[in-house]
Amino acid sequence: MTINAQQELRIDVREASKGVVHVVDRAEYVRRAREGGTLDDAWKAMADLGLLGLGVGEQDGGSGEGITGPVALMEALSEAGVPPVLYLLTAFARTAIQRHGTDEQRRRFLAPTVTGQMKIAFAITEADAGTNSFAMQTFAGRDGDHYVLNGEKLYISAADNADYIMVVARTTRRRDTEDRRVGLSVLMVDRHTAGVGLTPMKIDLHSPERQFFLHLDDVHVPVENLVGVQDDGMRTLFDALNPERLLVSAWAIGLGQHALQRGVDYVRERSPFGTPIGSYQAVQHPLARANAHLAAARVMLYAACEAFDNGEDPGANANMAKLLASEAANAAADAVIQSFGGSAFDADSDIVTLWPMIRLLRIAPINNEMILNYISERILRLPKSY
Amino acid sequence: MNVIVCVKQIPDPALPGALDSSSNTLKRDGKLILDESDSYGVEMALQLVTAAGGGEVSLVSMAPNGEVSGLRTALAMGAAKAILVSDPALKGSDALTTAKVLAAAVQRLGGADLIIGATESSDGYTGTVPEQIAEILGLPSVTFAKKVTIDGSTMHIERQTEQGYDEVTSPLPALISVTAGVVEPRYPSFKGIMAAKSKPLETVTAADLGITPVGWDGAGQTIVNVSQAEARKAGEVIEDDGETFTKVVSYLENLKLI
Repeated sequence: MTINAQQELRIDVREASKGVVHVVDRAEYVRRAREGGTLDDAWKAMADLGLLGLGVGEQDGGSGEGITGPVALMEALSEAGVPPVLYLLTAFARTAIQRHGTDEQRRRFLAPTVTGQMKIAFAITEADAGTNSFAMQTFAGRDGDHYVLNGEKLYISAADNADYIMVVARTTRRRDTEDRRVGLSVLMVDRHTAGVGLTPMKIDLHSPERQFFLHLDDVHVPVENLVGVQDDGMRTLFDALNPERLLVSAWAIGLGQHALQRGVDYVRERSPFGTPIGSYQAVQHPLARANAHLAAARVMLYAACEAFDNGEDPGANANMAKLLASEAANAAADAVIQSFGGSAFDADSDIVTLWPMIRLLRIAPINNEMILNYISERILRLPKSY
Repeated sequence: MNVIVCVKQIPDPALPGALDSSSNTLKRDGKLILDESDSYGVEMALQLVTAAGGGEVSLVSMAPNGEVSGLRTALAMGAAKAILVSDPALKGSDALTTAKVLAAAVQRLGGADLIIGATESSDGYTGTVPEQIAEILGLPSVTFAKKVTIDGSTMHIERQTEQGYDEVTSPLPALISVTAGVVEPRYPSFKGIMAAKSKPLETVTAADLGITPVGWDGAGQTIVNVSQAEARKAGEVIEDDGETFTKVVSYLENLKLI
């Protein structure tokens, strides 16, 4: 896809996303975050407007456009202040299924997500294996025609509203393999299976979508729900986690741009000394700098999308995009908070409510320090530091 | 049943507008979007065609610089084809010239059972173009249509008035201007947006339509002066003394809202 084609796709997706924002706008999103409520109606609008087909090949009932389509949608909805995290999870889980799933899995798990009938959450993080996924304890033991899954996951976003959860588990224990990368497997777990439990976490990102502990207690998972090859889950994960970084970058850029626009609107009006504070360079420059950094991150992001869609290794660009996007979004939010002054902390201004989610994106789904480690080792060829 | 909708493409009202100081006309050199006032007409046309069980919706528009963004939006909503009249010579055209141009574009499409316009545009507000088109084409016209049903070759219209609405019957073909809010315009789907790219969109000049003179030469009016609109006055504050509702009722009655 050429840069012009990407730009055109971004514009088209943004245009179509207006029908979603009409259903749930920023004020409604914040209200539901505060008072409860799902994004089910926004999800239905995404299906009705043909947006859930983005990223799924036409042979699987979608409208194609690679990862670029879902990234453009995530960016557009985030820029409108309504980032749908379960959509993000579903989108990258589908990418892994498209590249590693069987024909039967593609039929079972892709087409229903295009029509909006299926949503997919993702579970990899554990309390004692945060950044180091290889240390995870969740284990799936083979027993005839199914696996028996046991373990505890946390920070599982929107799991209460998902139909399936893509769970990463060990199928060979760490002690039984020399290579730590061997022994992981990716399983599609029906959320309503006996033994699957959810406990809400006390995390407030000012989003209608909540975080959960996921309890897996002797959960029977049919072997046909294994995505990719047993014990070689890293290969499958590669095509989930790289798209995740791209989608998260879009989330950060979109939300950063949303914050920035809110700041620009504010400083254009706010005039305690008679002239708008937006006419002062001290106020303008941090906002202008944030805009430049968001634009640069966006260029990196879509270059990474291009690489992924061409079947190239997007690792370097995807990681750098996530780093730049999250830093740019945080700089934008900080400049906007400074511009708003004390009123940024009035919940009614809905500025401080943007902050936790934007700040989180320097940490999740992988902290920026690990990305810098990746750049140091893989791109600069420096010694491994940890 | 075939319907033609006259759609105007206007500067985004969300952005600060500017006047050309040499001509006192609105600057239209940037991207133009579909006038929201016309989105109601497009939606009504699509619903009428669906209810009739066949036919198509076509669009006519006049805009500078070959601008088609607003037309693409209406095509993405479901219209089948469009004619854009774009010509530097049209700069300065008044409402009557615009009506002549759009009427000629309607004829180029072969006419229709029904032509729909907005009551007024969101940037020019003359509120006269649709009726002038009807006069030029020799069609009956009904203004302020808020509900329309088609029964064979007869159209029943509920026409908005200050007190309520008139029930009007008109033969087809005819022209109506619709009020804002009569229907809820659909949001274009991704598929619709992609399909709109390949729908027929013909761009013609005033000369192609045989309309002359146009622009400043054809205008029967000139804008001699523009002055700042009066700043909005502070609203009336009513202290609640337990009888406030009577003041609110009387305020609304004065505005003829109740």
